[in-house]
Amino acid sequence: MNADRSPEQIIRDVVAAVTLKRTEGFGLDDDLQKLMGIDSLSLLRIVAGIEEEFDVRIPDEELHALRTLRAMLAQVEVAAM
Amino acid sequence: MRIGLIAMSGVRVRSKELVELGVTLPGFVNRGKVIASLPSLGLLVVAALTPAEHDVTYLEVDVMPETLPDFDLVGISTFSAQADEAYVLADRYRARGAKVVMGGTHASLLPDEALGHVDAVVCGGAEDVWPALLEDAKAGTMRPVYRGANRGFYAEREPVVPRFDLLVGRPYNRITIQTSRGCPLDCDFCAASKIFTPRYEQKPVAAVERELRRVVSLFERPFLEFADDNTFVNRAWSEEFLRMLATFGLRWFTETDVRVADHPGLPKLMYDAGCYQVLIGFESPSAESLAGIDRSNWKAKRRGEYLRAIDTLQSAGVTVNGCFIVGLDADTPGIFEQVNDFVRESGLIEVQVTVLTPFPGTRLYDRLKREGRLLQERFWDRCTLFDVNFTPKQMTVDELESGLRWLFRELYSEQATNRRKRHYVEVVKRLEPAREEPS
Repeated sequence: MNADRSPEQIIRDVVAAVTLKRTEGFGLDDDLQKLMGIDSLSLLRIVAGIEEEFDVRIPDEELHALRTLRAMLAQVEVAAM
Repeated sequence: MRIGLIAMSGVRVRSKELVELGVTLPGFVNRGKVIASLPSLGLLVVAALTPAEHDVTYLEVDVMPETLPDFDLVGISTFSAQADEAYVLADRYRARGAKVVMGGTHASLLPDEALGHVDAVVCGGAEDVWPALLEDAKAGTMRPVYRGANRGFYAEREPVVPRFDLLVGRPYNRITIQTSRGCPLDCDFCAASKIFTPRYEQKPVAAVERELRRVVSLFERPFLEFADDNTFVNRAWSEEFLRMLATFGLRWFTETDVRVADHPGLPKLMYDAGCYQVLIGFESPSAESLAGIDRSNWKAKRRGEYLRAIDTLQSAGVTVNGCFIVGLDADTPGIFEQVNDFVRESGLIEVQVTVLTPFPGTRLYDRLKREGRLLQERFWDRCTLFDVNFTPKQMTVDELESGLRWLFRELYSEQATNRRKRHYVEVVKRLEPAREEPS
């Protein structure tokens, strides 16, 4: 994990890398699937990127719920505990 | 003229039990939502063939609207499942004095039926005939049937760039581009290749590149779906195409057959070119059920290679959406468990199951009709790929319907869906570090 970046910024970078789109305009509670047209596989790529960056494993049953930056941040916090 | 090009859109399911089951299974509705939100590439080609003097509007109709925009001429494209709704729409426009033209698979196969509701039918591709049809419409001399091109789409003509600009500002998850027409396999149940070209034809890579340049000039980093029946048949073309595609840095999805895993290096080229997923029609895990579904028995001969092909592709980062058909003639009630077992064993990351569907105009339809196995004479609104329209050979209709529902519950349960999702996450983690650098 890059210590120079906040967890939120790391997640935003992962989302940007997977979607090839900028995320600056998206709020923490915006539904990324709706706003960015992200499909289910891209969401899972984001999960993979987050798990790699934070060295965590998000529970399988939570995979479907990671539609907002806030939800992703929350899962990272829970998984890191 | 003010011309309205209208695509009948959306996915239909008539079985009440399946509808109720479907809404509770996110994995089941996912691909349906994607299909339902794809633009009609055929109509964008028609728009591109329309001379600039006309004013063209592109619309999609899923739920019949109460009010309709005014047009002088309406072109409607529909599949069989929405044909009756398309006829209602055509009747409404004709009652208002508009001329109505219909095209697409259903009207191409049953032009006489369509002519009960429209002024003209375009059978096959619109290339060659659309500009002439518009001239005739202006002069009041439109003929009932225009037989469009069905071969030589790319060898004898310069492919037009579809009017992608008509999609700007709409919430599409995917933009479609076509790189080929037809399919070399000619399966018993497939209507597409038979209508649109008897030969498999691939668009020159330079023409695809021209379309891609247009698309990226209109949309920011679009996700592409190649609107092909079978993209990777020719190795030399595939390699040239993938090298060109890689320069765009986009993500994409397409349909192909199992031979794509034969070519050493091709799966990696696909991954490097941005391939997220290929849809492959495996049709059945049972070699007996595969026997005879295509003219040269190609799929039955390839059955032994299915697991290796899935592993080769997915290990290279190209996920496979495996498609299966239940209700084939050799299928017994044991087929549902066989499909479920195969999906688990194979590690397929996505799966689609449909019921054998005798679309009008196919060899399957003719055979089942001859054998007296069609449940109704006219059942177009049930050509949904999920509703049973014939008597299966080795089981009852009820067994087929209830077996399909059982299979959906197994394949799309939360547990099974999560297992496939986790598999995909782990595949990506093995492959991505070198790839997903923030840009």
